[in-house]
Amino acid sequence: MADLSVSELVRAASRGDQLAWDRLVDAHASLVWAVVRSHRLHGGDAEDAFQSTWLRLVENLERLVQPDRLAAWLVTTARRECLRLLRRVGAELPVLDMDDHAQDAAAPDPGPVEALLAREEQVTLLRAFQRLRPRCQDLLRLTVAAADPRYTDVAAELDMPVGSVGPTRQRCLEHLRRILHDGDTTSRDTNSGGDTAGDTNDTGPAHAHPRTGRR
Amino acid sequence: MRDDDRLVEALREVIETTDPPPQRLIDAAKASLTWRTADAELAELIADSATEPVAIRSATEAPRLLTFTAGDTVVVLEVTRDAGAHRIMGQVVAAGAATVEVRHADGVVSVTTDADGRFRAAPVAAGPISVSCRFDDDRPAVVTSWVSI
Repeated sequence: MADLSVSELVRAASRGDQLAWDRLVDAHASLVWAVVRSHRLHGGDAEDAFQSTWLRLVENLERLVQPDRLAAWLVTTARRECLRLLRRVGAELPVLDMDDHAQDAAAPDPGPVEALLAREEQVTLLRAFQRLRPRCQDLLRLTVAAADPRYTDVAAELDMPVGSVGPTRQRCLEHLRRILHDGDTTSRDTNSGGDTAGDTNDTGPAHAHPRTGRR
Repeated sequence: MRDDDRLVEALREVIETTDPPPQRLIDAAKASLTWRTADAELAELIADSATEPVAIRSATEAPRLLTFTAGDTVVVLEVTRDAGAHRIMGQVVAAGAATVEVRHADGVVSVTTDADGRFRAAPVAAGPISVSCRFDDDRPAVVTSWVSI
């Protein structure tokens, strides 16, 4: 089973092969979760969206047109589930373009989340990541969660032109590196400098919600 | 590029450690394969009163109305919140009686329709639900797509 392709696993799962199904879930759970998180869903809504995505895959296992593109299908489906939930919840739609700053200058609480990290450099990286603009966080979260990052999938999820995903991802990484190098006492993650203007064109308005309440 | 790969790898570790999909949800996702219904027709959701603009909803808490179709078969569900759980009144618009299973987070409610295809099912847990309809003749079963209530 170890060397089966994704489409072979899909075929096996559609015949009821639990081991094949388990492997599909394990391989793609982080990706689906990243999509859910990028919609600022938490608690029961996040669980609903995650769960509904897999149920939808179960009902469509035999109908997938391109089983080898399962990652893309899951991204699209999870996104649709999230939007459906947000529409139902109504009032909790993300507020757009209020502030480009993901976090205020104050460092996030060194709470339980950071206690999970074994090394100091990981804590530093997490803090730097949390200070990126939300769009950058979403994009990086999606690309690292995809075992085989296909830019088209990420673009669909973020409503970006496919061609701009690569360059934007590159800029987000550079930005992350800059925050890491500058340390987190001085600079804020965005300023009125030249790079911001370039980012804004590609990534659109940033969501205002700070990423809080995370386990 | 190698530096980028290292940074992405380090970031992957940090994110997977600090905000992984909860194990409970992964287990539930694995268990959901048991809901697989081979050889059933899928009825897609075509209308949902909960996504209509608020202005045209009634002021009191009206039941949520869900409509699914597969070919000539129409499944209508009226979902009422009832002290934590939900109550469903539904109708399968198709010739002949059907055995209906309402599948939900805590299990299955199994009922048969009356001569007009009507049925009632309760209690149904909040969360994703799906309804399967098996007919007495040799027509293929119909299952609705999952929807969260």
